[in-house]
Amino acid sequence: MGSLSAASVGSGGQISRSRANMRFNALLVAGSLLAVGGLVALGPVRFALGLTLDDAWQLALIHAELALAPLLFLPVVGGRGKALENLAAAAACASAGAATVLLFSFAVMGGVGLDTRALAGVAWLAVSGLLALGARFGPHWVLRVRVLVLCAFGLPALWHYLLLEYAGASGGHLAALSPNWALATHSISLWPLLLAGALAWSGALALPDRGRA
Amino acid sequence: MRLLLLLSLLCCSALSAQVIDAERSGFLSAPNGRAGTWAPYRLVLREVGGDTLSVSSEAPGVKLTRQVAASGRSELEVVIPVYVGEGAKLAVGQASLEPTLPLRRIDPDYARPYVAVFSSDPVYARGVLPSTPRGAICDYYELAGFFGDWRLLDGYDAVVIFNPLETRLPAGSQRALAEFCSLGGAALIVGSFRFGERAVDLPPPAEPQIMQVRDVQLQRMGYGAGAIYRVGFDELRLSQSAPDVIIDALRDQLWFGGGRAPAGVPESRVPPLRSPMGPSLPSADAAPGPLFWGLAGGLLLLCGLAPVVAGRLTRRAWPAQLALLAGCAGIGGLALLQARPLPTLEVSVLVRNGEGGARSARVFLLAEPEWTETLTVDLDDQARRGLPRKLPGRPGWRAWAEDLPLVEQGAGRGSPVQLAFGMVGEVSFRDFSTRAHRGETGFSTDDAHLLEWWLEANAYRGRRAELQPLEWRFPERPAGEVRVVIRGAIGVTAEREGG
Repeated sequence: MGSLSAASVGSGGQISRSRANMRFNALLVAGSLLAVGGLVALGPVRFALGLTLDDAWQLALIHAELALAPLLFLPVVGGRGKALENLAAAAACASAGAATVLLFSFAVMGGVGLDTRALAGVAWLAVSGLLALGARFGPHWVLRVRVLVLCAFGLPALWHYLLLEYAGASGGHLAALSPNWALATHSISLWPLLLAGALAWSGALALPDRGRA
Repeated sequence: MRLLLLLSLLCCSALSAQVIDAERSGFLSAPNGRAGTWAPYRLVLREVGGDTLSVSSEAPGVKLTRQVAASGRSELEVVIPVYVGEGAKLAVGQASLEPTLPLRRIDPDYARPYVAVFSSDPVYARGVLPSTPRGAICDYYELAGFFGDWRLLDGYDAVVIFNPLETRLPAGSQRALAEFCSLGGAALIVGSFRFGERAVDLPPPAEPQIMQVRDVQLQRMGYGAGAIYRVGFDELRLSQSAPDVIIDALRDQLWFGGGRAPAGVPESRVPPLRSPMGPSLPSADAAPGPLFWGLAGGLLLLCGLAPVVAGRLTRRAWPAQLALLAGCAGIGGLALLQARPLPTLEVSVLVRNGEGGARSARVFLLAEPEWTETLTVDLDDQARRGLPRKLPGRPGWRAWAEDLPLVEQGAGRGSPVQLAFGMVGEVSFRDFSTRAHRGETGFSTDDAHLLEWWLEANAYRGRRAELQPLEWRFPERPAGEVRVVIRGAIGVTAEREGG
């Protein structure tokens, strides 16, 4: 108990800084995604990526939103009260991300922006829930969870390749864990991320504060 | 309450009243049918309710609709074009039917035309013009039931009418016949023929030419890409070889006046296996408008200022986050109101000129899938007489070919060139196509794809034609919001042997 209090006091400045970050988290999301959108519009980048300024532009932005969510969400470390603030911040981040993606609707004929909102919503739910759960245990756990989420989102495609190459088996079912892969292969399944997000947020909100424990 | 229930029951029974009599319904041309075209189908409906019925005939990517008066009748017969191919379907209200396709597949063949024979005495017509392996393939119909829509004649190469009693065709049937001929069909009238082009506002045919076929004299009037032949009923009756006279007259048109069949496969309305469209144009870059810049600036301002303002008012963080949630949702909603790019419809046109004042067009459409999945044609609309059919398209695009009868003449964009003996001018047709692709001819590089496709299919023995790049525009703007790009238009005037 004493050591925990000391840790809290010692990291007080860090916590207040992270709280300030959380306040401007939506600005970070919107600014980053707008920057990505502008970057993709640059000729050399566009040609290097093989993109055109039509539906592909918004799709690239959606991929960026899904991939950057684990990096852009900055939870406040602390007790239950902070978890509630994290929940509100996560909702604001998801909303800012959605608004930025929909801003690029001028380039598309179809409704890919709206169609992917459910996927982006559950991705934000899972990412923010897991990071908020980590934030209940301290800043180091936030970093660890961030790495774990990045691995969970990024590595299934690699595992699938390795399974195909060395075991002759398909790991296609792992697409449910990786929103980018699911979007690219049109095999979107919301349940695993929804379940992970719901469980993580339940844990983050239900765990007793460490001081009281 | 009971009254309401009774009314709803009555409504439901009225909605699902009609029943398709599948036993008595069927293709009028059965057992014959040309795959890939539309053939006349008799649809028998029983237990008909309501004043009008909407009958639709569906094929992959195409839907034809017709309104039919049904008041005071318990049973109804409707003749409607039905697609001869997989995916054909008929629907009347809630009832639908997948028609049984004709068993005998009739492919386009120079030597054996597919003929619709109309006669007040079909038994006599069968005797004069029988279906024979070396003659023609014939379907026989009552003259009184002559079709009022050329789309029912879509599959046929020629129409033969036995009219000894001087029956005058109704205006709709005359128009149907004129449209059929303008699309390259041959019509042979045995007996009285009063075309009445003035009465139904049709382009006039060319001046009559007198021809001698075996022991019978007949008249030939060119009509666009097709022609109308007329022979006296008594002259044919007294002839020693009446069937041969009719077949020779039809072959005169189908063989372009030559003594033997041209090489290759004759032009028909069967959709081509290879698309004549070139690669689609790259999509235009979308450019953000003022609304985008305004909303993006507003979004950044909102995300930056809302926490600052809320921080002055309260120490809690969540009110600012909830305000952001609501504000961003509003901006996202407004973003959906931005003007969006229209789907592109690329059009290539083959205008078929000929003799007289009539001409027709085959329009090849290549559309982005956002435009439409199905082209709908109202058969009752007298202004739109086109008939589309689906073509194989490249991935991400949808393609159709639509035949338009009696179109306006487009102005030439360049000098015409002559095709004869596989040569265009002094070069082989393939070399000419290559030059056209390089932009070294009067044809544009967009025309070159269509030109190459047509030459590959037609530039063989027995075909002579004049080809010219044309200006072209749609008779009517295509339905829906779409960006129309005319990729190319060429005019083809088939020339007969000996001029």
